[in-house]
Amino acid sequence: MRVAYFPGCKIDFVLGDYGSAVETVMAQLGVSLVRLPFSCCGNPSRGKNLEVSVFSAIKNLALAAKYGLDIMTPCKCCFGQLKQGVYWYETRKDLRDNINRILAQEGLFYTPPSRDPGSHSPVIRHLLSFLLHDIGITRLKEKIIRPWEPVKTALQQGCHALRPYGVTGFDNPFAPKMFKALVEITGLRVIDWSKETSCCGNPIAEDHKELSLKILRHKVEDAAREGAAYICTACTHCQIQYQGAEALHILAKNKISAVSYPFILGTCLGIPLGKMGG
Amino acid sequence: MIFRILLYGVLVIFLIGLVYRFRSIARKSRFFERDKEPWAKKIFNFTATGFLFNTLFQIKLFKAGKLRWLVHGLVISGFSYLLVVHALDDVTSMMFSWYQPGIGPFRFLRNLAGVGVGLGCILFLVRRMNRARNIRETGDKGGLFKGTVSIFLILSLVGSGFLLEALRIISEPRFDEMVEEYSGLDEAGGLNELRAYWARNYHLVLKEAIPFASADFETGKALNQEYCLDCHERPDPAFVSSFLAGGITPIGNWLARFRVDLFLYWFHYGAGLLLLAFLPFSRMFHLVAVPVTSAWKKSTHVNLKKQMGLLEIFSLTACTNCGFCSQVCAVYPNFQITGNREILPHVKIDVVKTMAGKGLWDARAVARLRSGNDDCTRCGRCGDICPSGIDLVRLWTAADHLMESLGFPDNCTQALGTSFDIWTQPFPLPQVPGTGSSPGLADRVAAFEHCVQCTICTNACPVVAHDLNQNDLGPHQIMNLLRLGRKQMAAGSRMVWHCLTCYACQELCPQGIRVADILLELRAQGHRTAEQIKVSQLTNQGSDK
Repeated sequence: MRVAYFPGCKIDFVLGDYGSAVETVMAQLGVSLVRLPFSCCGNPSRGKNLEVSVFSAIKNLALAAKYGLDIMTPCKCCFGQLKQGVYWYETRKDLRDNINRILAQEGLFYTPPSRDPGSHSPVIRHLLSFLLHDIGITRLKEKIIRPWEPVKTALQQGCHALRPYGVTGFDNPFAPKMFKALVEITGLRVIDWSKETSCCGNPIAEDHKELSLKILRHKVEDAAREGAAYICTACTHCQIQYQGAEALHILAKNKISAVSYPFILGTCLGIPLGKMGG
Repeated sequence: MIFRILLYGVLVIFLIGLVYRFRSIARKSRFFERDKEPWAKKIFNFTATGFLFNTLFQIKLFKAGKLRWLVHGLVISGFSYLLVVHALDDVTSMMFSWYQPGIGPFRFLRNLAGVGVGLGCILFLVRRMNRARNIRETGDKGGLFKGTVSIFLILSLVGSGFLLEALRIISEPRFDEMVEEYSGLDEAGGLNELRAYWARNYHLVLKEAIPFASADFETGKALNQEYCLDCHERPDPAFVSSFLAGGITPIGNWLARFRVDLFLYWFHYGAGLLLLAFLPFSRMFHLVAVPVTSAWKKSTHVNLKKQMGLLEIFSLTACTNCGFCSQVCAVYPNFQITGNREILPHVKIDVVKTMAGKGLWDARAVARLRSGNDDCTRCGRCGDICPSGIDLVRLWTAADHLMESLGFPDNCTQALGTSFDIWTQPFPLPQVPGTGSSPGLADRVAAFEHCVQCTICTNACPVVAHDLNQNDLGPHQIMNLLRLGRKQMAAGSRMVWHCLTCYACQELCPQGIRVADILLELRAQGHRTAEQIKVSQLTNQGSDK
């Protein structure tokens, strides 16, 4: 199986171990990740210039369409933005016309799925939905050779994939099930906690660091109260938020560690830790 | 004697140039008080392999572009050969007694190196021309001649070298000089025979042609062997110069009479000196800077924060404007939409360099730089590919820091630090590139008129929940401001700038209002306003002075 791998901007420079965990897991599952010359997904420009953010997303999709590949990203912000790009591209005609004109200059071309059901419009997948829909939970279960002990684990869902559901269509935005199903096959025990679907605080880490850390601290304390030993993430930005210098102090104080899902799955599949270390 | 004086003069200019270059970054720009890391630590944080491989073999350029590596290699290998063996032959011939510039192998090598350098420089120019055409389509005003002075200097150096050698081959006065100096032959001693021999075998052009049939070549050959052959073999291995000599033979006498070879000699020498004197001021300075930047270890996201104050001269001057960085830039699409060239790394570094020296010299340019640098996602691809080994991510962080310390904050800080009186007054300035606008949700009453002020959005908002003391308005109050027609005021609220974009409000709104989308739209308007305020404040400051 081949899929266009969209790592996003942050993985290579900031979160190399997350990237290598995704890559080794995919290699183990027999998926070949194709690296295309993707640009930024457009999420950082969302609050500055809508047209830029939509164009960035559509340009990436058009590039994947050119190679006839679907897109898989391990980042929920990238996933959400690619979906948002399609939404705004379909909703706003003025944006669409300008974007088509610029794409055509580069020999790129994009058709949204709604306009052409049989088209080669690439399917946008997050790592989790890719594992669930394209690999399948039964196949994953067969491959698991070293399950974890049933330790209490709190899930960090990641906002941009869940909401707005009308745009992302990822999972139930109030009671998400996909992540839970995928974590449970690794042997960990997923707990219900109140802040599962709330924001990790990363989007304002630069503009208002104090607030960002306060949100994080409340989340971690809440998870600790529920008795969780791990917080499991499946998003680059969430993981960055939990791995920041100050965040590590907060986690240590509450005796919780934040682990990314591909890392957990990788250990279950028998991949040596060193290979996923980045 | 006069050579020495000139050479020392140029060396002094070179040294002054170096000092000038190092001083060109204003003191204020070099360090910042916050988190400053001592120089020493930075200097010793170096990698010997990076230094060696990137300086000697340009491995990063090889990885980035094979063809350009080849052309660049052609120029530097040829140039280093010419510099060591030819230009500094006074010094090197002391070490190698068998070196003679006039014997075959060295003539051949000199020509070969010259061809390499010349060809490489012409290819440089062709590429520049192509790129100038490409960039002009996207609105660049910078022409072909920007940064090409050194290339033209090298070309004239090589060209004059070839011409000089060609002229010396055919020049009779030069022949006479040499004969007088090294043999003292006269007409009776066989000078004419030697002349005839040289005219036939060495491409010498004589004023009065000697009929070959009557000449005594055997005598000429013997004399040549005795006096000349140790230093002068047949010039044919100098394939370019002897070809040129063949071309100018018809006017050879005339050229020789006016001693054009002397003029060319001075021209050649002068071009070399000019190149040396010009080096610290031109892009050629990367000769000095690239070994330094290659030797420093790249910063990682962990130590980036500690080093963010460091803006040093080598990183800024090692840039050769090759443009590889902009080809891989993750936010290139931003440039395609906004047309703000200061998003592109190879443009940005030039502006940062100017700003480091002159401060906030031009409000518009700084605003474009700030906007472009804020668009940057710090993905690190530019620094990975940079053939000069510049740690570009550190440079962008340092540039942000410099702008903040010079009083040009990011838009969020500006927006929240501006009083509502100033914030809400209309700004007549034209829009700064980097922020587009078209009517959106906040301009359409239908998008928010159904708000019933139920406060579900505000209750769901994590910013409101965690930031009770500082946050000013909840999302439902923003909607109310819109209904009151106070869009501009809403765009300056803390809620809009601190929104996490978690979409909890929008998902829960019972009236189906796109609350988060509206907040983001307001922030986009806030970005435009903040930039206009910054530019107008800076312009007013300038006119006050």
